[in-house]
Amino acid sequence: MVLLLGQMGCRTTKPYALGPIKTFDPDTTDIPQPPENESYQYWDRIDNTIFHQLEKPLDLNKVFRAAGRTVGVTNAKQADNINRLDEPPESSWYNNRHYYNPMTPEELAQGPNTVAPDTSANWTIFSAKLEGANPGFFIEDASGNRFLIKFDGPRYPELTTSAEVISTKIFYAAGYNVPQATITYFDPDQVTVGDDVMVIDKGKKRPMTKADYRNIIAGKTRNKEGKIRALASKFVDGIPVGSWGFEGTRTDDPNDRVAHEHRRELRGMRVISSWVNDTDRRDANTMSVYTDGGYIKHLVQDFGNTLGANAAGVHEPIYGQAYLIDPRYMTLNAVSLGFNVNSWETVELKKHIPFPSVGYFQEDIFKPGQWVSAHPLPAYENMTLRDAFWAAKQVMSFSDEDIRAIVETGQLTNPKAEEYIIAVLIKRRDQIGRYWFSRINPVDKFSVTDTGDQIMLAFKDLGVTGGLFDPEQTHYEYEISVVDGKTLQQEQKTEEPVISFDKSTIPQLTTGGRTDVLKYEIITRRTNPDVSEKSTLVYIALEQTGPRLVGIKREE
Amino acid sequence: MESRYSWNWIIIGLISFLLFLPVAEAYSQGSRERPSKPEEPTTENIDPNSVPYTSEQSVGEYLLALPSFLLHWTSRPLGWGVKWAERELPQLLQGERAPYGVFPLIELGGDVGTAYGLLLYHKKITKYNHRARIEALFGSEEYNDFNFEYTIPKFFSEKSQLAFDASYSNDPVKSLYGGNSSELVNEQLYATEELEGLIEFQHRISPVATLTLSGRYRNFDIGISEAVRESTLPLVREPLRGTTALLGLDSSLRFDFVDQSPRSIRGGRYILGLNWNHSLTDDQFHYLTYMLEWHQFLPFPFLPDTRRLGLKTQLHQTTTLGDRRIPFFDYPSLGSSYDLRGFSTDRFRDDGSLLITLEYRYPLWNFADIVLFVDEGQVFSDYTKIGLDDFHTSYGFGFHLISTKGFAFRSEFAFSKESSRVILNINPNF
Repeated sequence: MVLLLGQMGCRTTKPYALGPIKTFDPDTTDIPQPPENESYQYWDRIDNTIFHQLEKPLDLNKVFRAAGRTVGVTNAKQADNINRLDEPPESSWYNNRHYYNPMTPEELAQGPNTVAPDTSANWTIFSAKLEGANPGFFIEDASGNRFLIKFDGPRYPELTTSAEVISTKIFYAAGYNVPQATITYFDPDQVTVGDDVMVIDKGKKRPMTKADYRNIIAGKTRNKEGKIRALASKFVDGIPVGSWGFEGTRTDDPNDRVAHEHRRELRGMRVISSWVNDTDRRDANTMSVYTDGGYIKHLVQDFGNTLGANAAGVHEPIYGQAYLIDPRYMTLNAVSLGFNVNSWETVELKKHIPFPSVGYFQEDIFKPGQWVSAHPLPAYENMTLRDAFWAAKQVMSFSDEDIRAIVETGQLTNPKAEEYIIAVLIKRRDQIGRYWFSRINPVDKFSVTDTGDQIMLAFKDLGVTGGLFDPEQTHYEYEISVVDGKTLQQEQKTEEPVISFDKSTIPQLTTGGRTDVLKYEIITRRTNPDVSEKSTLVYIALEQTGPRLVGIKREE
Repeated sequence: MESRYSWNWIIIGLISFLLFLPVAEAYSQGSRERPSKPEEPTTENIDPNSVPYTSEQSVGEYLLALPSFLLHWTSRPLGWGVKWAERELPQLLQGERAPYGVFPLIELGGDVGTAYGLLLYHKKITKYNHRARIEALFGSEEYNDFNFEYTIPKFFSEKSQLAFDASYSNDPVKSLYGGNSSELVNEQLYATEELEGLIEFQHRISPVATLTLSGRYRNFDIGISEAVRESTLPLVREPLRGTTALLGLDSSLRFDFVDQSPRSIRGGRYILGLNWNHSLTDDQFHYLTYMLEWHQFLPFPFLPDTRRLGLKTQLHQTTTLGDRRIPFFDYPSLGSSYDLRGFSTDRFRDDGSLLITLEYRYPLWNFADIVLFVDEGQVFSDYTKIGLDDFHTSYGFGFHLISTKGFAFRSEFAFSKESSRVILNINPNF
């Protein structure tokens, strides 16, 4: 019975496809507008912290897979939306951006922004929030554009607003859909409270007054001209239909077919979040929008808890290192009788806040492989080494200049604070690259050409191009074989990431209507003993029109 | 027989594991990779960009995940409740206690079983933010507890406050044992009904010193309830029964040098107390009680400050005035959730009591501590009777919840050679 169940869940296939490579997942089909899902702040955190954790050992699929991994007969479950080149095709969730088509520093600085709030004329408040950690309001400018206006906390001027802008642009460049976010300075006297704006005050609804507006802006950061600094987040195009979750699918969206916990871009987001210490990533900080095209687009939003910021305050050292309720460390703490000292416990926060506008943002206790958000997220938990590699290469695609261009859009008035953030982002980027690229063979960006008598496979060693590993201490070993046929070259070695291969050694090339496929097995060898030497299989179809990359398979 | 069954289970386990390995392998992404579903087209005839990815589970996978589905769906009603609460009672979940409200109270265990009640509070009465609190706990006809507090903060001064407190309680089964060497077989039973009124003035003399003066009226009725009658244990002697009204005047001076962090890391606290009592119904009781208490906190060497030792030393002594007496229930006793925690309530009673408690507190998490403790205590008739060999030992462990404002709740498990105790308390031991 058990064997039968197993076979029912089992399929086999070739690791390459002779047809076109899938580059787009068609989840943008016209659907009826779904009702708005109400967004909640607490339940997903409770559910993912308690019940989701209890459900895992009860899911025998996971138990058996874990048992199989322990004895080495099975691997982790991979994402459901990856093509033969181990990439997630574009979709309503994700677009290929900086890694695939490098953006200029100007484009990175521009990010998703198309329009900034018009500060030359009056703003009208049409909605407001008085209570909570960070009161703010919504305005419509003279051009009719609508923005959410948020502020820095009183003790940390420029911190939250800059973090939100910087991280928004990083996520955008990494391929995610994000709202437009701009630093703006507005004249406080050029704001009026609209008619019929209601606020909730001490649990009761009442009309908003000018005094409420004055209370919200009291003590906010101002520039020399007396203008107030704020973050303006533009209302997204389309109709908001609630948040999306990091598990399951939306039942009223027929386009939503891939379980979110098995989406590559959501699993890999853990690595990108780790870079900017995006600890508050959760269901409530996402948005689904019903677009004019008649489908739901998925956005990531609320980056006010990134870099050194934690809403109006600063991150505590524990953020990113452990869940806010973490049974793993709690058990260790309990049984060690207090003799286990967690790394975040020894950090004296005040001594590690270099500037108020930076908050607590460090690289010294950052461990890329152990980074977690404040609450467990199923998609993050499911991240495999291949997912992590995919995300790490996105992170590594930001050069120092790229990072500088993005950080400058945070408009920090203290140049030293700006330099500090740039430096930490660079260090954390490299830590991410070094960590993940040491655990998988970081070769990518393959290109294959036919030079007449040679087939030349070129690739990039991302560990070398990222400056993480010394090219002098790196070489590549490879074997070439015909799929389902004989081995053509064995135990070959090259110092450069190029493999040339004499076509004449291939017997009976492309005969009888059958397309031959070459399999390259590449292993990157480095002198660094901490680097695990895994293989990458690359499949090249020898077609009439020339050789073509048709499959990549990475060993974990 | 037991041994053979154990081997059977081990063999069954091994066979099951071996049978399940192929299942695990079926999920492997290794040599036989499982594709994204539906399988990507492998010929040029189909545009792969027209075929959406889909996460699918086979019947087998559904069956294997069934136990987790069951837990998932049984936990959903709780989710609906939390969402409802977030929508309808947002302040409840935001940790912002409303200025007034009602909370349910439940007391579990003890001789009287379960008691239910309500807590009503209002923190902003009048523009001067007076506070009121009413607690009512109903166990049975013979076990109830009512308490009313009204506090005027900033009474005539920023540094002073005045509080009124009235309470009524009855308990059908209480125990009286005896002195330091009393045995459990010495237990006698009685029932009690107590009414108390208190007015208390507190003034902060300096940032570390606080003076408290209070006057109290207490009325005790020591008797025999039906519950006591039904017991096989002896009853307290006749002279100890009856009704007594007492007037008391208390004063205490407290010097607090403990740091203001939520966890109390270091520093000392010294409390001196003097209490005068006189009976109102007749002239038989007239006595003084004095109390010395020292709390000391000290970080554990070589570890972060959150690992610390706490020491509590407490001396209580009563003395009669003139040739009057002291009611038995007002003699210092040991055995409660604050002292000799592993013993029965009021297990030892005499003219004086001495308690030494040592606690090692270390963080379970940023909002909780684990506490390991040992209590050493004895009661005595005079100081010359205090002996190193006469200490009774109780020990245990517990969990303390820590809020941003400090101690919030403790759950402790205490043991002694005689008995054990589970403690759930919103007041700290020290």
